[in-house]
Amino acid sequence: MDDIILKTEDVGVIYDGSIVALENVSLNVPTGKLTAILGPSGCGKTTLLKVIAGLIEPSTGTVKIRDKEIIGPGPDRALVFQDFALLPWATVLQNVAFGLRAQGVSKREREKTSLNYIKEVGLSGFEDKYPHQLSGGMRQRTGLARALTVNSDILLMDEPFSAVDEQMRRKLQEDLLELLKIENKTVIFVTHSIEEAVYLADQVVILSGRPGSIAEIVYPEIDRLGEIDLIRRQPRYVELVDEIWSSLKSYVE
Amino acid sequence: MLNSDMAKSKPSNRKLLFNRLMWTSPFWSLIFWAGIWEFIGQMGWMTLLPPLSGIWFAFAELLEQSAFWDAFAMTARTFGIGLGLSILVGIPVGVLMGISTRTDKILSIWVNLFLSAPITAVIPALMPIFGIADATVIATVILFSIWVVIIDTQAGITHVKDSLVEMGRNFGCSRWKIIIWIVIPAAMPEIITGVRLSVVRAVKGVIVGQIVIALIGFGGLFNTYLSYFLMERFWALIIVVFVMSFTIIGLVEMLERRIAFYARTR
Repeated sequence: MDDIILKTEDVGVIYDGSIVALENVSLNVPTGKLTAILGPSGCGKTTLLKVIAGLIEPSTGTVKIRDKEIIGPGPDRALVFQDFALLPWATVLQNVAFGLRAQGVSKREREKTSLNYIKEVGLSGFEDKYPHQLSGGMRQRTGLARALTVNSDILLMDEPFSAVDEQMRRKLQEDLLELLKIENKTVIFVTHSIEEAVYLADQVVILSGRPGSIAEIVYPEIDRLGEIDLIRRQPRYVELVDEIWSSLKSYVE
Repeated sequence: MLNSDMAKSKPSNRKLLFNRLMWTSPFWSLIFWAGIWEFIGQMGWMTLLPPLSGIWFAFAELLEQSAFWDAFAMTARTFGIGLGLSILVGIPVGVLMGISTRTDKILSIWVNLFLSAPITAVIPALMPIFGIADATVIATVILFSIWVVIIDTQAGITHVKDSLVEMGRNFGCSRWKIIIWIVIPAAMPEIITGVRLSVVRAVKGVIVGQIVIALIGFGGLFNTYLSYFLMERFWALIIVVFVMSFTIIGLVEMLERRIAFYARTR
Protein backbone atom coordinates (compact mmCIF):
# COMPACT_ATOMS: atom_id res chain seq x y z
CA MET A 1 0.00 0.00 0.00
CA ASP A 2 1.06 3.60 -0.54
CA ASP A 3 2.84 5.78 1.93
CA ILE A 4 0.36 7.38 4.30
CA ILE A 5 1.06 11.06 4.96
CA LEU A 6 -2.05 11.96 6.94
CA LYS A 7 -4.36 9.97 9.12
CA THR A 8 -7.52 10.79 10.99
CA GLU A 9 -8.36 8.45 13.86
CA ASP A 10 -11.93 8.32 15.19
CA VAL A 11 -12.42 12.03 14.59
CA GLY A 12 -15.68 13.38 15.92
CA VAL A 13 -16.95 16.95 16.18
CA ILE A 14 -19.75 18.02 18.47
CA TYR A 15 -21.02 21.61 18.26
CA ASP A 16 -22.57 23.36 21.23
CA GLY A 17 -22.42 20.22 23.31
CA SER A 18 -25.18 18.42 21.45
CA ILE A 19 -25.05 18.77 17.66
CA VAL A 20 -22.97 15.94 16.25
CA ALA A 21 -21.38 17.10 13.00
CA LEU A 22 -18.87 14.26 12.54
CA GLU A 23 -18.59 10.81 14.04
CA ASN A 24 -15.83 8.20 14.00
CA VAL A 25 -14.05 9.39 10.91
CA SER A 26 -10.94 7.29 10.38
CA LEU A 27 -9.21 7.98 7.14
CA ASN A 28 -5.85 7.35 5.54
CA VAL A 29 -4.54 9.85 3.02
CA PRO A 30 -1.80 8.48 0.76
CA THR A 31 1.18 10.67 -0.12
CA GLY A 32 1.08 12.43 -3.45
CA LYS A 33 -2.49 11.40 -4.21
CA LEU A 34 -5.70 13.33 -4.51
CA THR A 35 -8.34 12.39 -1.99
CA ALA A 36 -11.84 13.72 -2.54
CA ILE A 37 -14.31 14.06 0.31
CA LEU A 38 -17.75 13.74 -1.21
CA GLY A 39 -21.17 14.00 0.31
CA PRO A 40 -24.49 15.82 0.38
CA SER A 41 -24.51 19.37 1.73
CA GLY A 42 -24.51 19.59 5.50
CA CYS A 43 -22.81 16.22 5.93
CA GLY A 44 -19.75 17.71 7.58
CA LYS A 45 -17.33 17.64 4.64
CA THR A 46 -16.06 21.14 5.29
CA THR A 47 -15.94 20.48 9.03
CA LEU A 48 -13.71 17.47 8.39
CA LEU A 49 -11.43 19.57 6.19
CA LYS A 50 -11.20 22.29 8.83
CA VAL A 51 -10.33 19.69 11.45
CA ILE A 52 -7.55 18.47 9.19
CA ALA A 53 -6.47 22.08 8.62
CA GLY A 54 -6.32 22.56 12.38
CA LEU A 55 -8.91 25.33 12.36
CA ILE A 56 -11.44 23.26 14.33
CA GLU A 57 -10.36 21.15 17.26
CA PRO A 58 -11.99 17.72 17.12
CA SER A 59 -14.10 16.75 20.12
CA THR A 60 -12.83 13.20 19.89
CA GLY A 61 -10.02 11.48 18.02
CA THR A 62 -6.84 12.84 16.47
CA VAL A 63 -5.33 13.93 13.18
CA LYS A 64 -1.79 12.75 12.56
CA ILE A 65 0.68 13.85 9.92
CA ARG A 66 3.52 11.37 9.47
CA ASP A 67 2.40 9.80 12.73
CA LYS A 68 2.67 13.07 14.62
CA GLU A 69 -0.48 14.54 16.10
CA ILE A 70 -1.31 18.01 14.82
CA ILE A 71 -2.03 20.95 17.08
CA GLY A 72 -3.68 23.80 15.20
CA PRO A 73 -2.74 24.97 11.69
CA GLY A 74 0.76 24.30 10.44
CA PRO A 75 3.02 25.10 7.50
CA ASP A 76 2.59 21.53 6.23
CA ARG A 77 -1.00 22.28 5.19
CA ALA A 78 -2.24 25.11 2.94
CA LEU A 79 -5.92 25.86 2.37
CA VAL A 80 -7.76 26.95 -0.76
CA PHE A 81 -11.10 28.52 0.12
CA GLN A 82 -14.54 28.19 -1.41
CA ASP A 83 -15.04 31.98 -1.38
CA PHE A 84 -11.37 32.55 -2.33
CA ALA A 85 -10.69 34.54 0.88
CA LEU A 86 -8.63 37.16 -0.95
CA LEU A 87 -7.81 40.49 0.61
CA PRO A 88 -9.79 43.00 -1.48
CA TRP A 89 -7.34 45.84 -0.81
CA ALA A 90 -4.32 43.86 -1.93
CA THR A 91 -3.12 43.12 -5.45
CA VAL A 92 -2.80 39.62 -6.88
CA LEU A 93 0.91 39.69 -6.09
CA GLN A 94 0.34 40.81 -2.51
CA ASN A 95 -2.38 38.22 -2.03
CA VAL A 96 -0.26 35.41 -3.40
CA ALA A 97 2.66 36.51 -1.23
CA PHE A 98 0.54 36.65 1.92
CA GLY A 99 1.49 33.21 3.25
CA LEU A 100 5.19 33.95 2.84
CA ARG A 101 4.76 37.35 4.44
CA ALA A 102 3.15 35.68 7.45
CA GLN A 103 6.20 33.43 7.64
CA GLY A 104 8.46 36.48 7.71
CA VAL A 105 10.07 35.97 4.30
CA SER A 106 11.71 39.15 2.97
CA LYS A 107 9.79 41.20 0.43
CA ARG A 108 12.18 40.52 -2.43
CA GLU A 109 12.29 36.83 -1.75
CA ARG A 110 8.53 36.39 -1.42
CA GLU A 111 7.77 38.42 -4.54
CA LYS A 112 10.20 36.33 -6.53
CA THR A 113 8.56 33.09 -5.38
CA SER A 114 5.06 34.50 -5.83
CA LEU A 115 5.73 35.63 -9.40
CA ASN A 116 6.79 32.08 -10.21
CA TYR A 117 3.55 30.60 -8.98
CA ILE A 118 1.46 33.38 -10.53
CA LYS A 119 3.00 32.27 -13.80
CA GLU A 120 2.37 28.62 -13.02
CA VAL A 121 -1.37 29.13 -12.43
CA GLY A 122 -1.62 31.24 -15.59
CA LEU A 123 -2.06 34.69 -14.13
CA SER A 124 0.96 36.42 -15.64
CA GLY A 125 0.17 40.02 -16.48
CA PHE A 126 -2.39 40.30 -13.68
CA GLU A 127 0.07 40.74 -10.81
CA ASP A 128 -1.01 44.30 -10.10
CA LYS A 129 -4.76 43.80 -10.47
CA TYR A 130 -7.10 43.83 -7.51
CA PRO A 131 -9.48 40.92 -6.82
CA HIS A 132 -12.56 42.89 -7.90
CA GLN A 133 -10.97 43.34 -11.32
CA LEU A 134 -10.72 39.57 -11.80
CA SER A 135 -13.22 36.91 -12.85
CA GLY A 136 -14.19 34.16 -10.42
CA GLY A 137 -11.85 31.71 -12.10
CA MET A 138 -8.92 34.11 -11.88
CA ARG A 139 -9.66 34.79 -8.24
CA GLN A 140 -9.47 31.11 -7.46
CA ARG A 141 -6.23 30.82 -9.41
CA THR A 142 -4.92 33.55 -7.10
CA GLY A 143 -6.10 31.54 -4.09
CA LEU A 144 -4.41 28.45 -5.46
CA ALA A 145 -1.15 30.29 -6.15
CA ARG A 146 -1.18 31.62 -2.59
CA ALA A 147 -1.54 28.09 -1.24
CA LEU A 148 1.26 26.84 -3.49
CA THR A 149 3.82 29.52 -2.58
CA VAL A 150 4.18 28.33 1.01
CA ASN A 151 5.31 24.99 -0.42
CA SER A 152 3.45 22.78 2.02
CA ASP A 153 3.16 19.08 1.31
CA ILE A 154 -0.59 18.97 1.71
CA LEU A 155 -3.05 21.11 -0.19
CA LEU A 156 -6.52 21.36 1.32
CA MET A 157 -9.26 22.54 -1.02
CA ASP A 158 -12.73 23.41 0.23
CA GLU A 159 -15.14 23.20 -2.73
CA PRO A 160 -12.70 25.43 -4.61
CA PHE A 161 -14.55 25.45 -7.91
CA SER A 162 -18.14 25.67 -6.72
CA ALA A 163 -18.32 29.44 -6.95
CA VAL A 164 -17.40 29.60 -10.65
CA ASP A 165 -19.47 28.72 -13.70
CA GLU A 166 -19.47 25.29 -15.34
CA GLN A 167 -17.09 26.04 -18.21
CA MET A 168 -14.61 27.70 -15.90
CA ARG A 169 -14.92 24.81 -13.46
CA ARG A 170 -13.90 22.31 -16.17
CA LYS A 171 -10.98 24.46 -17.18
CA LEU A 172 -9.83 24.82 -13.59
CA GLN A 173 -10.16 21.08 -13.00
CA GLU A 174 -8.04 20.33 -16.05
CA ASP A 175 -5.48 22.92 -15.04
CA LEU A 176 -5.33 21.50 -11.53
CA LEU A 177 -4.52 18.04 -12.89
CA GLU A 178 -1.83 19.51 -15.16
CA LEU A 179 -0.41 21.42 -12.22
CA LEU A 180 -0.33 18.35 -9.99
CA LYS A 181 1.75 16.57 -12.61
CA ILE A 182 4.49 19.15 -11.94
CA GLU A 183 3.93 19.87 -8.25
CA ASN A 184 4.20 16.82 -6.09
CA LYS A 185 1.39 17.49 -3.62
CA THR A 186 -1.01 15.52 -1.54
CA VAL A 187 -4.43 17.02 -2.09
CA ILE A 188 -7.55 16.71 0.03
CA PHE A 189 -10.44 18.07 -1.91
CA VAL A 190 -13.98 18.68 -0.65
CA THR A 191 -16.74 18.57 -3.23
CA HIS A 192 -20.43 17.87 -3.61
CA SER A 193 -20.01 16.94 -7.27
CA ILE A 194 -19.70 13.24 -8.04
CA GLU A 195 -18.28 13.99 -11.49
CA GLU A 196 -15.64 16.28 -10.03
CA ALA A 197 -14.64 13.68 -7.42
CA VAL A 198 -14.32 10.86 -9.94
CA TYR A 199 -12.57 13.08 -12.46
CA LEU A 200 -9.92 14.34 -10.06
CA ALA A 201 -9.46 11.87 -7.25
CA ASP A 202 -7.43 8.76 -6.64
CA GLN A 203 -9.51 8.07 -3.59
CA VAL A 204 -13.12 9.19 -3.08
CA VAL A 205 -14.34 9.24 0.50
CA ILE A 206 -18.11 9.24 0.64
CA LEU A 207 -19.63 10.77 3.76
CA SER A 208 -23.15 9.91 4.81
CA GLY A 209 -25.52 12.59 6.08
CA ARG A 210 -25.86 13.84 9.66
CA PRO A 211 -23.91 13.01 11.62
CA GLY A 212 -21.19 12.76 9.00
CA SER A 213 -19.35 9.47 8.97
CA ILE A 214 -17.57 7.52 6.26
CA ALA A 215 -20.06 5.49 4.25
CA GLU A 216 -17.71 4.11 1.66
CA ILE A 217 -14.32 4.68 0.06
CA VAL A 218 -13.99 4.29 -3.69
CA TYR A 219 -10.74 4.11 -5.68
CA PRO A 220 -11.45 5.34 -9.21
CA GLU A 221 -8.16 4.04 -10.67
CA ILE A 222 -8.62 6.18 -13.73
CA ASP A 223 -5.67 6.60 -16.04
CA ARG A 224 -4.70 10.28 -15.84
CA LEU A 225 -1.30 9.98 -17.42
CA GLY A 226 -2.59 10.42 -20.96
CA GLU A 227 -4.73 13.14 -22.41
CA ILE A 228 -6.72 14.86 -19.68
CA ASP A 229 -9.69 15.67 -21.88
CA LEU A 230 -10.19 11.96 -22.58
CA ILE A 231 -10.88 11.10 -18.94
CA ARG A 232 -14.57 11.87 -19.16
CA ARG A 233 -14.91 9.40 -22.05
CA GLN A 234 -13.41 6.48 -20.24
CA PRO A 235 -15.99 3.72 -19.54
CA ARG A 236 -14.58 3.45 -16.03
CA TYR A 237 -15.41 7.12 -15.38
CA VAL A 238 -19.03 6.75 -16.48
CA GLU A 239 -19.48 3.55 -14.51
CA LEU A 240 -18.10 5.04 -11.33
CA VAL A 241 -20.25 8.16 -11.46
CA ASP A 242 -23.31 5.87 -11.68
CA GLU A 243 -22.09 3.61 -8.96
CA ILE A 244 -21.39 6.44 -6.51
CA TRP A 245 -24.70 8.07 -7.27
CA SER A 246 -26.63 4.90 -6.47
CA SER A 247 -24.80 4.59 -3.17
CA LEU A 248 -25.21 8.29 -2.31
CA LYS A 249 -28.89 8.38 -3.24
CA SER A 250 -29.93 6.80 0.03
CA TYR A 251 -28.41 9.69 2.01
CA VAL A 252 -30.17 12.39 0.08
CA GLU A 253 -33.74 12.88 1.07
CA MET B 1 -38.74 65.37 -42.17
CA LEU B 2 -35.48 64.85 -40.39
CA ASN B 3 -34.66 68.54 -40.58
CA SER B 4 -37.92 69.70 -39.13
CA ASP B 5 -37.54 67.20 -36.30
CA MET B 6 -34.15 68.58 -35.47
CA ALA B 7 -35.40 72.11 -35.65
CA LYS B 8 -38.13 71.24 -33.23
CA SER B 9 -35.94 69.38 -30.83
CA LYS B 10 -33.31 72.11 -30.52
CA PRO B 11 -35.26 74.75 -28.62
CA SER B 12 -36.92 72.12 -26.46
CA ASN B 13 -33.49 70.86 -25.45
CA ARG B 14 -32.42 74.34 -24.56
CA LYS B 15 -35.58 74.84 -22.55
CA LEU B 16 -34.94 71.58 -20.75
CA LEU B 17 -31.45 72.69 -19.84
CA PHE B 18 -32.78 76.01 -18.64
CA ASN B 19 -35.39 74.29 -16.51
CA ARG B 20 -32.84 71.98 -15.05
CA LEU B 21 -30.53 74.85 -14.14
CA MET B 22 -33.38 76.92 -12.81
CA TRP B 23 -34.99 74.36 -10.57
CA THR B 24 -32.31 71.90 -9.66
CA SER B 25 -29.06 73.84 -9.46
CA PRO B 26 -28.43 74.77 -5.83
CA PHE B 27 -26.90 78.03 -7.02
CA TRP B 28 -30.16 79.36 -8.44
CA SER B 29 -32.08 78.19 -5.45
CA LEU B 30 -29.66 80.12 -3.24
CA ILE B 31 -29.98 83.25 -5.38
CA PHE B 32 -33.76 82.99 -5.27
CA TRP B 33 -33.99 82.73 -1.50
CA ALA B 34 -31.31 85.38 -0.99
CA GLY B 35 -33.49 87.69 -3.10
CA ILE B 36 -36.54 87.03 -0.94
CA TRP B 37 -34.47 87.60 2.18
CA GLU B 38 -33.11 90.90 0.83
CA PHE B 39 -36.64 92.03 -0.07
CA ILE B 40 -38.11 91.25 3.36
CA GLY B 41 -35.09 92.83 5.04
CA GLN B 42 -35.33 96.01 2.99
CA MET B 43 -39.03 96.32 3.85
CA GLY B 44 -37.98 96.42 7.51
CA TRP B 45 -40.84 94.20 8.65
CA MET B 46 -38.76 92.41 11.24
CA THR B 47 -35.91 93.87 13.25
CA LEU B 48 -34.54 90.35 13.68
CA LEU B 49 -34.09 89.96 9.95
CA PRO B 50 -31.82 92.63 8.45
CA PRO B 51 -31.29 92.76 4.66
CA LEU B 52 -28.74 90.33 3.31
CA SER B 53 -26.58 93.14 1.89
CA GLY B 54 -26.23 94.55 5.42
CA ILE B 55 -25.10 91.13 6.62
CA TRP B 56 -22.48 91.09 3.87
CA PHE B 57 -20.97 94.31 5.20
CA ALA B 58 -21.20 92.99 8.75
CA PHE B 59 -19.29 89.94 7.56
CA ALA B 60 -16.48 92.15 6.27
CA GLU B 61 -16.40 93.93 9.64
CA LEU B 62 -16.40 90.62 11.44
CA LEU B 63 -13.25 89.53 9.64
CA GLU B 64 -11.44 92.60 11.02
CA GLN B 65 -12.30 91.84 14.61
CA SER B 66 -9.81 90.08 16.82
CA ALA B 67 -12.68 88.68 18.92
CA PHE B 68 -13.88 86.83 15.83
CA TRP B 69 -10.47 85.36 15.10
CA ASP B 70 -10.00 84.39 18.74
CA ALA B 71 -13.34 82.58 18.65
CA PHE B 72 -12.42 80.99 15.33
CA ALA B 73 -9.09 79.77 16.69
CA MET B 74 -10.73 78.39 19.80
CA THR B 75 -13.35 76.58 17.75
CA ALA B 76 -10.75 75.06 15.47
CA ARG B 77 -8.61 74.04 18.43
CA THR B 78 -11.37 72.41 20.48
CA PHE B 79 -12.85 70.77 17.39
CA GLY B 80 -9.49 69.34 16.35
CA ILE B 81 -8.51 68.06 19.78
CA GLY B 82 -11.98 66.67 20.56
CA LEU B 83 -12.43 64.94 17.23
CA GLY B 84 -8.86 63.66 17.27
CA LEU B 85 -9.34 62.11 20.70
CA SER B 86 -12.69 60.61 19.64
CA ILE B 87 -11.07 58.89 16.68
CA LEU B 88 -7.89 57.85 18.51
CA VAL B 89 -9.83 56.36 21.41
CA GLY B 90 -13.00 55.33 19.55
CA ILE B 91 -11.36 53.08 16.95
CA PRO B 92 -9.35 50.96 19.45
CA VAL B 93 -12.38 50.65 21.73
CA GLY B 94 -14.53 49.60 18.77
CA VAL B 95 -11.90 47.08 17.66
CA LEU B 96 -11.73 45.67 21.19
CA MET B 97 -15.53 45.36 21.31
CA GLY B 98 -15.50 43.70 17.91
CA ILE B 99 -12.98 41.01 18.80
CA SER B 100 -13.91 40.36 22.42
CA THR B 101 -17.48 39.40 23.27
CA ARG B 102 -16.82 40.13 26.92
CA THR B 103 -15.77 43.73 26.28
CA ASP B 104 -18.73 44.09 23.96
CA LYS B 105 -21.12 42.90 26.65
CA ILE B 106 -19.69 45.32 29.20
CA LEU B 107 -19.56 48.39 26.97
CA SER B 108 -22.25 48.10 24.32
CA ILE B 109 -25.15 49.19 26.55
CA TRP B 110 -23.29 52.37 27.50
CA VAL B 111 -22.19 53.16 23.99
CA ASN B 112 -25.73 52.72 22.68
CA LEU B 113 -27.14 54.78 25.52
CA PHE B 114 -24.83 57.71 24.84
CA LEU B 115 -25.24 57.37 21.09
CA SER B 116 -28.93 58.22 21.31
CA ALA B 117 -28.87 60.41 24.44
CA PRO B 118 -29.41 64.19 24.15
CA ILE B 119 -25.84 65.12 25.06
CA THR B 120 -26.69 68.85 25.15
CA ALA B 121 -28.42 68.28 28.47
CA VAL B 122 -25.15 67.10 30.00
CA ILE B 123 -23.07 70.16 29.08
CA PRO B 124 -24.12 72.28 32.10
CA ALA B 125 -22.89 69.43 34.29
CA LEU B 126 -19.55 69.47 32.50
CA MET B 127 -18.87 73.13 33.27
CA PRO B 128 -18.16 72.75 37.00
CA ILE B 129 -15.88 69.78 36.21
CA PHE B 130 -13.86 71.24 33.35
CA GLY B 131 -14.35 74.95 33.95
CA ILE B 132 -15.54 77.58 31.49
CA ALA B 133 -12.73 77.00 29.05
CA ASP B 134 -11.50 74.84 26.21
CA ALA B 135 -11.74 71.65 28.26
CA THR B 136 -15.53 71.77 28.53
CA VAL B 137 -15.93 72.32 24.79
CA ILE B 138 -13.48 69.51 24.05
CA ALA B 139 -15.45 67.22 26.38
CA THR B 140 -18.65 68.17 24.57
CA VAL B 141 -17.10 67.44 21.18
CA ILE B 142 -15.95 64.03 22.43
CA LEU B 143 -19.33 63.20 23.94
CA PHE B 144 -20.99 64.13 20.66
CA SER B 145 -18.65 62.28 18.34
CA ILE B 146 -16.99 59.27 19.96
CA TRP B 147 -19.94 56.86 20.15
CA VAL B 148 -20.59 56.60 16.46
CA VAL B 149 -16.89 55.81 15.82
CA ILE B 150 -17.04 53.01 18.39
CA ILE B 151 -20.32 51.54 17.07
CA ASP B 152 -19.32 51.60 13.42
CA THR B 153 -15.86 50.20 14.08
CA GLN B 154 -17.35 47.40 16.17
CA ALA B 155 -19.91 46.60 13.45
CA GLY B 156 -17.19 46.56 10.81
CA ILE B 157 -14.99 44.22 12.84
CA THR B 158 -17.77 41.72 13.59
CA HIS B 159 -18.80 41.60 9.93
CA VAL B 160 -15.38 40.62 8.61
CA LYS B 161 -15.78 37.33 6.76
CA ASP B 162 -14.80 34.25 8.78
CA SER B 163 -12.91 32.86 5.81
CA LEU B 164 -10.47 35.81 5.85
CA VAL B 165 -9.65 35.14 9.49
CA GLU B 166 -9.34 31.40 8.81
CA MET B 167 -7.02 32.24 5.93
CA GLY B 168 -4.79 34.19 8.31
CA ARG B 169 -4.77 31.35 10.83
CA ASN B 170 -4.08 28.82 8.09
CA PHE B 171 -0.95 30.67 7.05
CA GLY B 172 0.27 30.85 10.62
CA CYS B 173 -0.50 34.47 11.51
CA SER B 174 -0.60 35.30 15.20
CA ARG B 175 -3.81 36.74 16.62
CA TRP B 176 -2.18 40.15 16.63
CA LYS B 177 -1.15 39.92 12.96
CA ILE B 178 -4.63 38.77 11.99
CA ILE B 179 -6.09 41.87 13.62
CA ILE B 180 -3.58 44.30 12.09
CA TRP B 181 -3.20 42.73 8.63
CA ILE B 182 -6.69 41.38 8.00
CA VAL B 183 -9.45 42.40 10.39
CA ILE B 184 -8.86 46.16 10.67
CA PRO B 185 -8.26 46.74 6.93
CA ALA B 186 -11.32 44.62 6.13
CA ALA B 187 -13.41 46.76 8.47
CA MET B 188 -12.07 49.99 6.94
CA PRO B 189 -15.23 50.98 5.02
CA GLU B 190 -17.31 50.90 8.21
CA ILE B 191 -14.57 52.63 10.21
CA ILE B 192 -14.37 55.43 7.63
CA THR B 193 -18.15 55.83 7.69
CA GLY B 194 -17.98 56.06 11.48
CA VAL B 195 -15.30 58.74 11.22
CA ARG B 196 -17.37 60.73 8.71
CA LEU B 197 -20.45 60.61 10.93
CA SER B 198 -18.33 61.59 13.92
CA VAL B 199 -17.03 64.65 12.05
CA VAL B 200 -20.63 65.72 11.44
CA ARG B 201 -21.43 65.23 15.12
CA ALA B 202 -18.23 66.96 16.25
CA VAL B 203 -19.17 70.04 14.20
CA LYS B 204 -22.50 70.13 16.03
CA GLY B 205 -20.79 69.46 19.34
CA VAL B 206 -18.28 72.27 19.04
CA ILE B 207 -20.98 74.84 18.25
CA VAL B 208 -23.61 73.53 20.68
CA GLY B 209 -20.98 73.37 23.43
CA GLN B 210 -19.99 77.00 22.95
CA ILE B 211 -23.58 78.18 22.73
CA VAL B 212 -24.70 76.40 25.88
CA ILE B 213 -21.71 77.78 27.79
CA ALA B 214 -22.50 81.14 26.11
CA LEU B 215 -19.39 82.86 27.41
CA ILE B 216 -16.58 81.67 25.22
CA GLY B 217 -15.80 81.38 21.52
CA PHE B 218 -18.58 81.73 18.99
CA GLY B 219 -21.09 81.14 21.79
CA GLY B 220 -19.86 84.24 23.55
CA LEU B 221 -20.05 86.25 20.31
CA PHE B 222 -23.57 85.03 19.55
CA ASN B 223 -24.62 86.00 23.04
CA THR B 224 -23.08 89.48 22.82
CA TYR B 225 -24.55 90.23 19.37
CA LEU B 226 -28.02 89.09 20.42
CA SER B 227 -28.09 91.05 23.65
CA TYR B 228 -27.01 94.25 21.83
CA PHE B 229 -29.32 93.60 18.86
CA LEU B 230 -26.39 93.48 16.42
CA MET B 231 -28.50 91.39 14.07
CA GLU B 232 -26.31 91.88 10.97
CA ARG B 233 -23.30 90.48 12.82
CA PHE B 234 -25.37 87.74 14.38
CA TRP B 235 -26.52 86.53 10.96
CA ALA B 236 -23.06 86.94 9.47
CA LEU B 237 -21.73 84.68 12.20
CA ILE B 238 -24.49 82.12 11.61
CA ILE B 239 -23.59 82.03 7.94
CA VAL B 240 -19.89 81.65 8.76
CA VAL B 241 -20.67 78.70 11.04
CA PHE B 242 -22.93 77.07 8.43
CA VAL B 243 -20.38 77.45 5.67
CA MET B 244 -17.64 76.09 7.92
CA SER B 245 -19.60 72.95 8.81
CA PHE B 246 -20.66 72.44 5.22
CA THR B 247 -17.08 72.70 3.99
CA ILE B 248 -15.65 70.31 6.58
CA ILE B 249 -18.37 67.71 5.95
CA GLY B 250 -17.95 68.08 2.20
CA LEU B 251 -14.20 67.47 2.53
CA VAL B 252 -14.73 64.33 4.60
CA GLU B 253 -17.28 62.95 2.14
CA MET B 254 -14.81 63.49 -0.67
CA LEU B 255 -12.21 61.59 1.31
CA GLU B 256 -14.66 58.77 2.00
CA ARG B 257 -15.48 58.36 -1.67
CA ARG B 258 -11.79 57.84 -2.36
CA ILE B 259 -11.67 54.91 0.03
CA ALA B 260 -15.07 53.53 -0.99
CA PHE B 261 -13.62 51.14 -3.56
CA TYR B 262 -13.06 48.65 -0.76
CA ALA B 263 -16.73 48.22 -0.14
CA ARG B 264 -17.62 47.14 -3.67
CA THR B 265 -15.59 44.00 -3.47
CA ARG B 266 -16.88 42.50 -0.27
